[in-house]
Amino acid sequence: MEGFHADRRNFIKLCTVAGITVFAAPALWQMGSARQAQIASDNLNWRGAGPAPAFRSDGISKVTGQKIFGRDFRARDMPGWKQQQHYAFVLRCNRVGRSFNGFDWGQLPAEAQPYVKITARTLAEKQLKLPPFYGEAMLLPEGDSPQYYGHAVAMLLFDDFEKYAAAKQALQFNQQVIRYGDQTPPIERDPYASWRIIRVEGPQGPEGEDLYSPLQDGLFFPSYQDHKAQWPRVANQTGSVSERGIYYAQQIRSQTESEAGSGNWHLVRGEYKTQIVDPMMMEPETANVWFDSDQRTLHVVITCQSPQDFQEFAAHVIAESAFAGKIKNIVVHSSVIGGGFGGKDHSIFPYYGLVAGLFGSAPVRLANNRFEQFQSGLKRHPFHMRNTLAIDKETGKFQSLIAEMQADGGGRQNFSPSIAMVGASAIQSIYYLPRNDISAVANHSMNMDSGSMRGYGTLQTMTAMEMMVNQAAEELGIDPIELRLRNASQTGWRNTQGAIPKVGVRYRELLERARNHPMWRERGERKKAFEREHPGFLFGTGYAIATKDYGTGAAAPSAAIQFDSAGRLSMAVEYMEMGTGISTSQSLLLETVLGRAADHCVVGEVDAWHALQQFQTESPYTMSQQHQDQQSGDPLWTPVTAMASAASMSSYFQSHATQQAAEILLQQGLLPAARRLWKKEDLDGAQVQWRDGKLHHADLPPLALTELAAEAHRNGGVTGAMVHSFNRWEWAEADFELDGQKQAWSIDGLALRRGGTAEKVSADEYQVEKRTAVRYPEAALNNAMVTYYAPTAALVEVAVNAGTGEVRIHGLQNYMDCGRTIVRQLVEGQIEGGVAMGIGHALYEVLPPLAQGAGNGTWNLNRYQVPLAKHVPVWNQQHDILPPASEKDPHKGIAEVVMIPIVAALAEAVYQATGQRFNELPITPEKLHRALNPQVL
Amino acid sequence: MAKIPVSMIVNGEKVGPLEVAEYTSMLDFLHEYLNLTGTKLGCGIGVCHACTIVVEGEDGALEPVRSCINNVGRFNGKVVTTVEGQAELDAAGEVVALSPVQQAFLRNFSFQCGWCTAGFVNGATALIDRLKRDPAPADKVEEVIGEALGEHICRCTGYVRYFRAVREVIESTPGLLKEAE
Amino acid sequence: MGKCIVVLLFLLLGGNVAAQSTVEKGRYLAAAGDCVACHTATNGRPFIGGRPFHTPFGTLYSTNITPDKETGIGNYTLEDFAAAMRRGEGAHGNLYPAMPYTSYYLIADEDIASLYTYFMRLPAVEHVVPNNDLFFPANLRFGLSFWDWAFFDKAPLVQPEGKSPEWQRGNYLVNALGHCGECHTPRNFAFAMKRDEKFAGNILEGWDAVDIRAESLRRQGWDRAQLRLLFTTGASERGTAFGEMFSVVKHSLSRLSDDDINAIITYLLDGDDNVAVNGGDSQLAAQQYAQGRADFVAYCAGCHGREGSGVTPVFAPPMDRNAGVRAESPFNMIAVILRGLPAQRMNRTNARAGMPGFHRELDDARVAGLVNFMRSAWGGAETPVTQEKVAEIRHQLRKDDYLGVVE
Repeated sequence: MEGFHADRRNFIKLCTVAGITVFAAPALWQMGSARQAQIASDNLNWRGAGPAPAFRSDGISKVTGQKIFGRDFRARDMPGWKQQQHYAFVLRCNRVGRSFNGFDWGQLPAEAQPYVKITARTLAEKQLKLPPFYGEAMLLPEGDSPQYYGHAVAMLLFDDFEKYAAAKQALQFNQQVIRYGDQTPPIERDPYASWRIIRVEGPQGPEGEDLYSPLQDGLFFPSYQDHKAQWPRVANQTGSVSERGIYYAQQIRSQTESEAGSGNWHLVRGEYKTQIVDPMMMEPETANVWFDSDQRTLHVVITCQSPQDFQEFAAHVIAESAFAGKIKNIVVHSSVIGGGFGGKDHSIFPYYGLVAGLFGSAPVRLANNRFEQFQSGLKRHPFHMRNTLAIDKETGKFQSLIAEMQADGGGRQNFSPSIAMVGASAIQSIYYLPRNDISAVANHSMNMDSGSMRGYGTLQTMTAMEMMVNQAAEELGIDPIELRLRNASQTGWRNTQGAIPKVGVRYRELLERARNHPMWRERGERKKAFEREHPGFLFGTGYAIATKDYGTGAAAPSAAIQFDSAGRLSMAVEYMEMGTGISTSQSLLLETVLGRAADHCVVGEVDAWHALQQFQTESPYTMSQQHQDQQSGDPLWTPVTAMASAASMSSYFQSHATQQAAEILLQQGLLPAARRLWKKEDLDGAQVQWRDGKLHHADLPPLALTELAAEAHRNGGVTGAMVHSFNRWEWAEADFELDGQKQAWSIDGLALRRGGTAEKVSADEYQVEKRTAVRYPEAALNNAMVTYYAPTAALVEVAVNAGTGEVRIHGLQNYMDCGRTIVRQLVEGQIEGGVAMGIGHALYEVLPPLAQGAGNGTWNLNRYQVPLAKHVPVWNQQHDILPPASEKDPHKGIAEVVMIPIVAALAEAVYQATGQRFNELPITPEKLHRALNPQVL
Repeated sequence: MAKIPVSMIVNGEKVGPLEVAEYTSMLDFLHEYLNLTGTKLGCGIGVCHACTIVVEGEDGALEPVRSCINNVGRFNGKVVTTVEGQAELDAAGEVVALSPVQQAFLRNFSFQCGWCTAGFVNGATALIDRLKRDPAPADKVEEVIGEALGEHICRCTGYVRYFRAVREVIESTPGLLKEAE
Repeated sequence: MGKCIVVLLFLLLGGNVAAQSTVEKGRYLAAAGDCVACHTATNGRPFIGGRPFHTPFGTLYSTNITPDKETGIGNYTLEDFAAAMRRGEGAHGNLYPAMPYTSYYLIADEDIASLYTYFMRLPAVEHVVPNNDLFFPANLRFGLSFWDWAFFDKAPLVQPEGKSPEWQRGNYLVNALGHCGECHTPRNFAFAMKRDEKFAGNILEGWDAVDIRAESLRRQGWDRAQLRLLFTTGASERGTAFGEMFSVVKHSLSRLSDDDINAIITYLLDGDDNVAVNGGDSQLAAQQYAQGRADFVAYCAGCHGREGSGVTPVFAPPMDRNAGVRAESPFNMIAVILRGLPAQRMNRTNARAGMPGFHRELDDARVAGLVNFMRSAWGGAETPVTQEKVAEIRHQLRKDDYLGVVE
């Protein structure tokens, strides 16, 4: 294949942005795994013969080192690309506080000269700018002062690897190549966002109408003075949103103080601090970009959790630059990701790759090494919280929560506003709070930018809540699990925002199970026995529970499922494979509806959805009800077309779309075929069932999928269903007229395939079916913030070395409610991985701020300690996964929540062992050594 | 930049002699010269062990070696196996059979993202080879696995399923264990 | 309310403030004396003893020095304490000279008193340490009196006039509390320090506790700044602290005041400051030791940088300025290459990865070539290291079981 041909089926037109057509290529790893698809041998078939899959559907490609990850692909691996590979290196400031005065290029070895040096001036000449989401100064202009640690100043392009490698070694830690001038004052800016969640329960209690809540009354915002949030001061019970809010906030505060003063309520008051953490996904970020000027096409390979957004942003970047006339097409190749944990969601990195590629004379590869990844990758927001929890001494019931949070967003805004909001809305954890005044401010700083990371603000705040609950239990003399049982929220009760969670909550069940565990029941005796047998070690048991909201409030998953005439099922989903096993679980979901798992599943599909012909208008988060009502008259309009692969989204949201598509395919494709084969006109879906891979009805001869598929193809019937769905804490529903019958589905876009030959889902074989009516969730639900939850709990025993302060985990029992499990091994693997990362957060991982931090470019894994096998309970970890409440129980999103309870459980276990409370994370061996041995200098 | 002639056997195939810049790391050599990208860069400083490959010693014993901190010269004349060479392939390059370690990792759902998998496959393979020569006491299996693979970093699955898989291979392969001491 | 209590306590305990400051002083002196390093079992609690010391005469265990009456030093009077510290006279007979009373005898009375006050206020821990496991006749404690008589030279601290107070303080810290000579001074057949070779370096636990005489330090390029870095962080451009010295930095030197660190440096570097730093000629070295250079490139440069210039010092030290490479004795270079180094963590921000050992991979001739290349490229050593020398060191390290680690 020579260059790029827009007419080839491989590249499907996705959309047109400002005159530039954005194409998506087939996901890269399909190229890599092509070999695997032909494996026929039974023991190399992932599905296996048992009820559970034999292994992950992407397992063989990963265990044999095939090219599947974005970082794997070089120019010569890309069909049609120019073969030569060029390399880019980004030069970054390791300091702030002085002006940047140009370069000393004499530091470059003579034999390792770049052929292009890109600086801020180069970008200005070509009118290249970052997408507004990322802010300004992609490269720092000469004369300016670095805005944050790690600010990029130049990109160098090399035409061969050896030059690149030599130059990188010479420059990466070079103190002379960037010249600094006069001292400059620190850069200070207003906070990125502020939130306040005030709620007071009404006379009807947890289920009744609130006196005040964000859901009912709306939100209000502060003004900024000296870069600090100033909340409105006027309080008026019958005034505006803010006046009423401030009135109730004052009520909560004064009531809390007076009840505490008169001895009725007990207060736990404390400062809680969390640290800067690196997601430390194993695959450092990479981009490979080829500007094919002959074909006026830009090809991009990226390692990104949100390729859809990148596509759109990149098109805008180019459209507004001097390259606008030179590029007609952008082709984005996304790939399997070597871990993300949020760090690859809306990272700024791909845009540096994009720009490097624009100046290259051949494909340009920009690949972070680990030092660079530490210096430039997104971090977890450190939170500083001042919290007060009030508990009625008599009943042990929580009465109020007052929380003031500051989150450090670093030098670029990224997702800081929403992370602060999610953190604030999650602090209540599993508890019911009749009164709350929670504020959260996302601040600017000169740290590296923080962004989405596993937990998205909730890890920080819920951990603090659990620490307070454990402390309250101790101080009130109530068993910690008993205290939790008294305060656990129940199905139908309102959360701190005034919303009612949409899924049943089974906190009590989780709590009761832990209460009956010997590790808990006998914790006193076990401590004594252990310490008697192991002098010098301090033993403690800790428990914590967390419930993580999942979803974004604007989920828009798509799925397509089709069969060929031989009955092979292939499917495509929009969600990316980050390692969680989505291709395995989504494939498996088809079994109950279509009789067998998918033979082939394309993940991270971006192009096929074009067949739905949908378009979007405004932000789904801020649009008015009126706008929504007006637009939804157009059957092709949707609040949002595509979504990023954020954490915890696949099992609930993507599964919904997959199941809807499967149901439609059954109804529209297989049942008509069955009616013909069985000659039963009135057969409906409720009368059939799959057993042993065959469709059964009464005592008629069972039909294999192959027979049904052949019949459907022969007859020109429906052979594929593609759906788009939308969720704003509720699913959109739409009516369709299919074969003269009105049908309602929980989707808002549909396309069907009749006949067709393509092996994989392909847009041009699908015809859109326009809906006849649609019911979208109300715009007001945007104020609800979150309503989906999945809980996890951890019961942990630790042995603390009284000398070194090392914490060894002696036993761990995990509890989880994930609704209906799709693949148990994947769920358990998620828990174990979450536990490991949680242990890192609780005990080991920390980056100092500012000059000593990762922005100085010298951080790597020799210093940043991620947990090793010896730090985690490899051999002594048990899982108790609740059986689903019913067959209708959803598949709940768990990827984030699994790392949360272990953090507070460890903090409590350490307290029980040592008698020392640590409200600042991580609780490192050094800290414990110091605290346990104050007598030693 | 000075170059050195490099030749070795990689995954059973003779490579070279190639003229390679002397400071090229083995990892870069595999990636940029041989286009074998199954070996992964994690930290680049020898800590995470994602880049572990297997080198045959003079006595035929397999040693795990980190390819990121060793330059290509160290492997001149050596017999090297990367993750791409661990499964049995047919003439067309398609997987016919997986090694016991690979099978055990699949069976146990040992990995998620898969970035650390190559290092674990090679590290575990070298461990199995070592135990064939020098069996471990049956009651020391956990320690032996911890010593051999304890420095490998995995960020997704918390080691549990990797270690369990290696234990299965050790305990189900005759001759790797001797009586408890 | 809180304030009232503080005031009240102050009134009641006012007389104790002086004692408190004595305890504080003792705490500091104990750090300067690095008591914790030896009197803590591996991964155990501080001062409870039980750390094994492998000597040519068998294994000794450090004692419990918490004030537990049964198993510690709870029954010691100040006089008992002073006798143990200064003369190695313990409650149950003479102490083995692994206890550095051969240096501690120089500690001032006042400091002994502070240390005593401090130790007596430690939390008492009941902890029985293992019995020493020594060969005859060293297992006979009464022999120690003879040893002391024969080898314990109780010469007072030399305090020459004309030296600055800072120098004098350094002199005291290095020789008395710091007991640097206990490791850095060669020992005779009976394990006693050779007074005439003070600080000339000594092989201990498979490492060379290097020559720390001023001339030698200066020849290796040590200056105030680099020594300060080494003493406060364990790492410098001249190399990192490893083996027992890492523990000394972690538990003792890094806790000392800036003034005391400066005093130690002043004392150590006192001497002829016109000593030329050892240099080298990398081009010549490459010609002379082609295989050595090739091995450096293949095995070492990945971490220690192209031409030995380092990558970033927080990860691994450069070799082209390294004190070990410039040192007269090649022992540590050879031992590090063969043994490798363990990962070391000082705290959350200062930690280094370990280094693999190459004893299986590199034979004596290649180790010699590698060492000779580095020494002549960046060290300027005149006499090349022979294959036999490497063999001898390898043999010794293997015999003492230091070559067990595979990469």
